[in-house]
Amino acid sequence: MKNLKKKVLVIEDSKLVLKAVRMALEINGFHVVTAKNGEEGLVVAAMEKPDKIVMDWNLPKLHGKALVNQLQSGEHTCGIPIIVMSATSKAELGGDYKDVTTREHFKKDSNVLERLVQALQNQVPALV
Amino acid sequence: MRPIVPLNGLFMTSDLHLLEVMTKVLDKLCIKTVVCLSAKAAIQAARSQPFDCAFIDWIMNEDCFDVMSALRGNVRNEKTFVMAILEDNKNLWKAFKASVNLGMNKPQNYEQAIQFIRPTYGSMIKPRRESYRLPVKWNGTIISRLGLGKVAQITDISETGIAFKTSFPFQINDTVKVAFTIPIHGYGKVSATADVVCRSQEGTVGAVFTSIPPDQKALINHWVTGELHSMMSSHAANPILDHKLLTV
Repeated sequence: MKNLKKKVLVIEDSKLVLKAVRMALEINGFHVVTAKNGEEGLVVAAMEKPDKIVMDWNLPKLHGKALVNQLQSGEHTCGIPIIVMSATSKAELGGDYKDVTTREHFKKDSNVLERLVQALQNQVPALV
Repeated sequence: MRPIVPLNGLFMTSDLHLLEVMTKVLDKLCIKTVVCLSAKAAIQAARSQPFDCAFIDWIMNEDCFDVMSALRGNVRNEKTFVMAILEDNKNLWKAFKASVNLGMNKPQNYEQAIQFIRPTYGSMIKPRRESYRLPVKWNGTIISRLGLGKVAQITDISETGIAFKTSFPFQINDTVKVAFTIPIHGYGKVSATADVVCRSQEGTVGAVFTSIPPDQKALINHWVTGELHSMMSSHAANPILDHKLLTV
């Protein structure tokens, strides 16, 4: 039977943060696939073709900027909306971030999970 | 007897960056942690299990008061060392009023966090150090009230008492004199008075020190602390911690 839940790929190197995001999304009806570094994220994105990608900015192996660029130019991944999460705000990321054309950015501060779930629910309604 | 390592911690936060930073600190200090992403989850955990330390991301006063109340309301968490993590000093006194032990500004990175938290480690471990019994195999002499001396094998020692194996029929509440030597360089002799508080069928007797010269008490404390630190260091060098995550 086809899984009707919307699929979100979460790319995050901190095991516990990854677990927290995964739990928050699954409780709210999303199907979650994960990757723990940039390179793995690229492979999983191409294989799983998620409806949305939630990714950390400071990732090992392939940094946030390079990963976003490769995802947006990839044959199988170019249309997937990306949400970036980082310890600092978009403005604080400065030059590193200016060429990146992701639509959404979340600072990893208090209640970020609630805001993330809300954003995903608004844009990718879960069919459950 | 509670195992000494790792310590058990409670951490409440909804801030993912703080979670990322603190995970590294908790791993480094060998604190196995129940991470609660909501006050409700933290209250449940505080009521149901013992913690050596707790870290509360102090965002909403009311929520944090409820967590502190649940923590201190559990007799096993009366002595838990609690640290409030604050955005600014505005709520510091409210946190202290809720019986938090220490407040710290929200760390931005691992270095800031470890610099502040590491010096508090002694306070986190204090209640456990006071009650922890280290297994030993020392020969000692136990002298009953009637002056009968018996060689006994001392099997455990803590800052507050000893356990020893003996064939002599000591009874609970008997007062005994105990003499043994701590295996350290220099003068390790201890001679104290103790009250028998328990006795097993196998002949192991537990006794609590009632009178001990201050320098000899300091010697025991020093030895116990040294042993604990050495156990901690060897464990911290290769920590395998699986933190638990609670959302509800």
